[in-house]
Amino acid sequence: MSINTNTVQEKKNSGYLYDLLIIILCLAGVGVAGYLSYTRLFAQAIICVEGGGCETVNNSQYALLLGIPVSFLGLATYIVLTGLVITRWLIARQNNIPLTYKLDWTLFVLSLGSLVFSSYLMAMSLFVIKATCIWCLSSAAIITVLFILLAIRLWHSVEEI
Amino acid sequence: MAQQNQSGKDTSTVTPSSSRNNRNSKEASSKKEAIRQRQLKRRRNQIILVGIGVVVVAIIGIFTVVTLSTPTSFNNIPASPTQDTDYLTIGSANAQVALIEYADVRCPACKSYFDQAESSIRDTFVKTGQIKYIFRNYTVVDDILRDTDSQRGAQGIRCAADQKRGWDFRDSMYTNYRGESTGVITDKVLKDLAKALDLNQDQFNSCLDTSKYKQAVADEKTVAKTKGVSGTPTFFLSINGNEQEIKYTNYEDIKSKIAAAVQQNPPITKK
Repeated sequence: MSINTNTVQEKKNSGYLYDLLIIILCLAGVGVAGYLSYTRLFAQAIICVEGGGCETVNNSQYALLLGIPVSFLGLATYIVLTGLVITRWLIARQNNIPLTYKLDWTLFVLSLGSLVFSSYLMAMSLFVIKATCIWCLSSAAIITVLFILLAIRLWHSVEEI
Repeated sequence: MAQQNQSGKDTSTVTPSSSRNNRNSKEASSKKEAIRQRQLKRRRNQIILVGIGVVVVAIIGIFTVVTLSTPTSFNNIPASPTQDTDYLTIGSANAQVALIEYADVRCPACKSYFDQAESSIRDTFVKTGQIKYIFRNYTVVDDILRDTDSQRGAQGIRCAADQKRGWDFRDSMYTNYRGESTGVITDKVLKDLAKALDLNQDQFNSCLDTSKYKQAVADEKTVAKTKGVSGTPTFFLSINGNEQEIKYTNYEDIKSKIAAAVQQNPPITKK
């Protein structure tokens, strides 16, 4: 009996760590997108690495989607992701498995869509604008890891249904 | 004799019905587990399908957008612009002799002439002020391929001519010759060339987008046909407005014909 309790406790701990990692990544995304949104809103120079193309990329026509700065869209997306991840954590604690599963699917689809859009922006940055922005690269890395973690969690959560 | 287990319970009372119940219960469990496994597999397949589907569509979409957005690259863009002295004309206004060329920007023979003879003619006669050189569009390849790419290319040249860069635009189309197939001349190629030549982009794009010179190019072709033009390149020597067709076979041949005309009709020197 004590061995089973330990296993359950270990599983819970690793689950917490997994959730914590996801939340940290979401908050990091909020930070990056938030910074870019701030510089856009207040016409501030972007802190960039030596020889970096942060200004070039963020002032290009591809930094706008239907007239809306992409950084604003990114910020909104990361805020929504953070909110959903926290909601999912709370719901899971209440052992509401069906709702948890639906939230996992929602997070999977949202992160997949964000990854696709991020890939488009990266492709334009590399092949059309021919400049790279360290903040954009960071955001791309964050959303990529987030998607992987959320996909893995959805993969395992189907066993709970 | 009744059998007993260690705790003293009588184990000899397993009846046929309880054994059947156990078997049924095990079968039900197995079926339930099989259904659960199938559902699990189906749900996981859904995840994979959604993921793969979105990724495939995304790759195709991104590739298409990047291809369409990547600026066309051009070679041998003139370092310093050549200004048209008149509509699609280069050379001295004092020259009495004009060489008129009817050509199609997609025509392979026109490209050959451009590579083999034209620069020598321009060096020998145009830059020295002896002749004027006039370019006219004759969109013969459109007739052959039943498309409108040459028409569009001709419009591009005329739109550049609005900014007195018609010759540079036409020259750049030949130095960056893309063949005569359908689809080699697109609006994107024309606009990118205008950008590479440092033309006023808004003015050029507006001219092209509104097909400002579509009718004019068609009219130019009609006029050429009345003069007997049916293929490209076709050359005329114009001496004080009188035009006579000359055949192009090679540089030396056309050079001698131009030289003879210039000898008879040298440039007017103002006193």
